[in-house]
Amino acid sequence: MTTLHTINCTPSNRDCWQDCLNAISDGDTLLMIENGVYGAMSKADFWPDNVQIAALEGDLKARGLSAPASVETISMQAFVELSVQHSKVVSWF
Amino acid sequence: MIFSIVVYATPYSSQAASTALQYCEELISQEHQIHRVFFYGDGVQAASALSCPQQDEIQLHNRWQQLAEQHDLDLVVCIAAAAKRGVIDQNEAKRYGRVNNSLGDRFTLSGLGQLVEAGIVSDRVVTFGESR
Amino acid sequence: MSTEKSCLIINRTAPYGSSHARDALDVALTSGVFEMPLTLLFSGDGVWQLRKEQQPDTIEQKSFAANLCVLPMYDIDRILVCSDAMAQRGLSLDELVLPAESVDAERIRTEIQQHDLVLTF
Repeated sequence: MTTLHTINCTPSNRDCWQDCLNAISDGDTLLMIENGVYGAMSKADFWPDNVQIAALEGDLKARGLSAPASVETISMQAFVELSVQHSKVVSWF
Repeated sequence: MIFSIVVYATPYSSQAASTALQYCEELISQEHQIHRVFFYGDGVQAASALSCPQQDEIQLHNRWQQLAEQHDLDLVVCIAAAAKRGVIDQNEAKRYGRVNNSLGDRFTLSGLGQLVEAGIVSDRVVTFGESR
Repeated sequence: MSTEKSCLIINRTAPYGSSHARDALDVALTSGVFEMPLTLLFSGDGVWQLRKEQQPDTIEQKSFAANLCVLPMYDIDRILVCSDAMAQRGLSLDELVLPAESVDAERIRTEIQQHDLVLTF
């Protein structure tokens, strides 16, 4: 039973990011949305292992960002598909 | 799959309110069933028909109304959260002695039981909240 | 009406400065009415919600701690607090207004996996 976690705050909100990262288990997906996509610019070694790391493309593009190789850029379509694949969605805001 | 959405962010002050709408539009295009959209806390402001955004801004209230009309969505607004924020229908306006009402006609005022019921009935519940 | 689906509410916000704490509590109490199995987890600044001796008269708000104390009347007694959050804020269990179980990150991950519905406030 895996979980899709969404996070929409910038990495400067350390508490939010800490709570979110501590809540992630193997096989989960972390999806950065809205201002959360600024987190995509974090270094590759920041991310937990065995977790899919993704960012919403519309939000990246809006902010003039390109995700590095360690982060998968996904569409709203894929956001919904991930919501179906995982057993629940937990929102961190 | 059956989805319910919780909108927990106020329109325009926060992007979350429009992400919620876009997510619902995508759910519909993928032919998922939306059991309920529940507007809570500051999210109730989306239900106000008195909202007058600029023409070049996202027309959030109207988009929700259209979506509800086209797809028979159940848009439920937490009555307690709404009343204190001035989002009221004719009944509530009469009850509180207010001169105007503001609730869009595709929205319904109801209690938190509707959120809990949505949680029980739905396969997925997705919350869109304001980032801090 | 009872249900087999379980709900975990994660409280991450301090009381009084915003309505999140109260919004979460209202959902918790409603879940109790529906007899939905419920766990309340307090993490981050949410642990402040449980602190004793809250006196909000001057700021003209209702006592949040007093409202929390009705939870047992709704058979809501699974109260968890994040041990890291407590330690970072210098809070101990005996300073809390309700009996709570201190849990670590691994336990929190398990709780998230085991509940059908997770709401964060």
